[in-house]
Amino acid sequence: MPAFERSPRQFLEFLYLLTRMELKARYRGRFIGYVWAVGTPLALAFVYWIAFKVIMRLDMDNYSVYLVAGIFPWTWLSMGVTGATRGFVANAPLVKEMGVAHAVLPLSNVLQEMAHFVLALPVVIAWVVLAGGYDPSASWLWQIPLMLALQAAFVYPLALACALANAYVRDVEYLLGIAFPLLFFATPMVYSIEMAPEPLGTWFEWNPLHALMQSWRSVFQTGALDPAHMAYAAATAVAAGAIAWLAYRRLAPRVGEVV
Amino acid sequence: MTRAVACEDLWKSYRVRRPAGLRSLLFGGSLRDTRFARQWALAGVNVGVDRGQALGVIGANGSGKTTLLSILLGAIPADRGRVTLQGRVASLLELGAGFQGHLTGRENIFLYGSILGMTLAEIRARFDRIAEFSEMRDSLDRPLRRYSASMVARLRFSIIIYSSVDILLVDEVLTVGDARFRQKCLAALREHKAGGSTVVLVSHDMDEITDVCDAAICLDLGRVVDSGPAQAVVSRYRERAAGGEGASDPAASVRISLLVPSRGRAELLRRFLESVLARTERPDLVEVVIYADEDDPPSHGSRVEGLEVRTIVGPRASMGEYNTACLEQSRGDIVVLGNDDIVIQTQGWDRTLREMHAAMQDGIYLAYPNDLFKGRGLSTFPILSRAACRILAKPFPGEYRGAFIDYHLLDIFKRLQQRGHARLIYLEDVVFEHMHYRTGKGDFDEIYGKRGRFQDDDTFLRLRDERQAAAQRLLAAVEGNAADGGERAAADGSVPAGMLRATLLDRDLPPSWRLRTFSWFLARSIARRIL
Repeated sequence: MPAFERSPRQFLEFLYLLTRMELKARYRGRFIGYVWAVGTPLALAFVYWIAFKVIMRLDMDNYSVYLVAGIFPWTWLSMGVTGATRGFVANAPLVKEMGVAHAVLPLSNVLQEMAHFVLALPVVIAWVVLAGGYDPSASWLWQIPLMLALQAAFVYPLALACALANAYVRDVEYLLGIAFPLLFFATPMVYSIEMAPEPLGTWFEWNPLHALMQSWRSVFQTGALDPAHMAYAAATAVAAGAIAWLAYRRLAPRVGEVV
Repeated sequence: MTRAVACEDLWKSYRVRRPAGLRSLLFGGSLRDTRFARQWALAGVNVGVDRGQALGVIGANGSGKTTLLSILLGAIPADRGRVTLQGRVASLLELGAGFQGHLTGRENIFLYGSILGMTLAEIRARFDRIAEFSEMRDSLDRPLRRYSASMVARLRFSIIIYSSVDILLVDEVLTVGDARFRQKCLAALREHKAGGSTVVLVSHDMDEITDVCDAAICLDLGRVVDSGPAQAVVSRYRERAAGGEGASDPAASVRISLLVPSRGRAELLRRFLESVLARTERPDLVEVVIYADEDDPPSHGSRVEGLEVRTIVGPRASMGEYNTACLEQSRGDIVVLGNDDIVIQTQGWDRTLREMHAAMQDGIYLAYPNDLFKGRGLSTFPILSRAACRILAKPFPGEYRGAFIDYHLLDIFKRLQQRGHARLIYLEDVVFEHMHYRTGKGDFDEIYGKRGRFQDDDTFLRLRDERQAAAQRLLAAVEGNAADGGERAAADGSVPAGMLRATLLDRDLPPSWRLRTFSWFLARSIARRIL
């Protein structure tokens, strides 16, 4: 029940203000903010590189590119969803006053993480070109925006559904803390899917996150996109969207009461 | 003149959720629990405010003022009733600042202005005036978390007063800040009102109410107990406050009857009566009606000083007949079906019952206390209003010899629930500790030994149609229709209903209850064959 009808324009303006100000608050007056946004996934990639390449002698060409090309979109996904999940509870006062604009809050989280990702893209591309020795591809000009849109459509319903669920059942937040590391290895992010023993490999193939992350890697590494992966990720996004929509219709009206 | 704010017959109860956890979601306990713990926040409230007018809302803490504002704002939905608002609404609610602590005052002006429905262009155009009014232009670039509470309140008020909303809901926030700024706020509110806006003001400060408001209402326990011109309502409220509590309390004169059949357990009965006397807030409003058998003289004379106890002495009969005899002799507005092996553990239990009863205007409910044994799962000690007893006609059917009366009543109200009226009220905070032998708190005495263990199962199944008819009559009463006489007549010649028909296949019952009764009777019928 909205307090009063807001026009789409008002929602968009609010979304813009919220997202811009959160980003501004994070990068406020210091270069270090950007260093953190880029440095954290890079450091993560470095840790896995040490662990798997140096210590466990994983046999894979251009392993560092494989890691970097995956971990940055992964960070967008996992941070967007976990941030949104805490969002309703953390912003309880805002939720209580906003009526039906609930859906805007997780969207803002997803857009913020997307902005971090976009800002980090030059670093990713530099890594791919300089460290990996891949040639920059002209097709990136349409592939990267397409993938950005696909991933945003993929992440937002997840974020919305988790945020709603967490408003009612606080455990969701902790479950996600377990689910993401698990999915990290089941996508897989630190080794290629061919290395997984059967039947795990086949199961991982069915993981929609695999389709999404593999698409990112193939964009950066080969400049090509697998239509099957794209279609599977898009279908999952649509299905997740339907579920999130149902959850939103059913759960949103009382969120103000339970947070 | 147009009504800017209109509410009709607003009802709101809070579900007391257990600290939400996976356990409750996975193992029993749905999100739609209708437990009650003195949380009936609004009970049939009507409010109307004309455009350009201000309405004051007064009343004690917990009377429902903030709930009313939250519903007007749309932050929480009402259980029942209509809310009509003409125009944009903004609130200054005590709770829920809608501010972001890590953002600066300047950023919050934009964000909050946007929440209030201002466009970016409007916010930019009014920014200077907002900063001016708040008197903290110099602090606007500091993060909000470094502001004092009064600075935050000032900033919010300044944004709201310039947001040109049509309806402004204000809850207590004016108490923050110094006297001078408060005067400035009150002046701004009056000016706002003069400009054609509508104000609803909740306050404990009666001068504030008379200063700003034209009309006022007074809430008590979720009901409007007084309304009229602000000045008059305030002075009556002050009189009542001076004249002591309870004068306006609709629950004050509600009487409670405890029905207690007892046999051969004079000691237990005495323990029960003493617990009643010790835990009752108003013993003058409580009566105990005991049924004792003719051949059980030790139970005849049970009484305690300071409590009205009446004993019916009669022939041996079934449990249902004992209960019915007690009911006929009782006079209370609330009827509690008890037992002699109860110890009441909650101080002021009677007050909770009276408040709950007052909140349920039509009297249609089945409440039950926490017996520390079956708990939420079963209405072991049912609490009914006299009105509901009348509609039920035979709340405690004489066919039941010892057991299942609790199931019988619960089943009727489950049927009502299935029809969209959740009137089951579990009073978790009211403890009637059941010293049942199976809890280890009582002895397995001959009362239980002599009783056939399965004699009432068939009765319960057979009375299915009667329960359905009773639920129909309750439904008619809840919805305010005349009871359907035809249905009742048809049910009187009740045919034996099969177990499946009265449980699992009974579509008039909620699925969870069907499953539960089915498995329960299945288990019992198996046990019956074996034992």
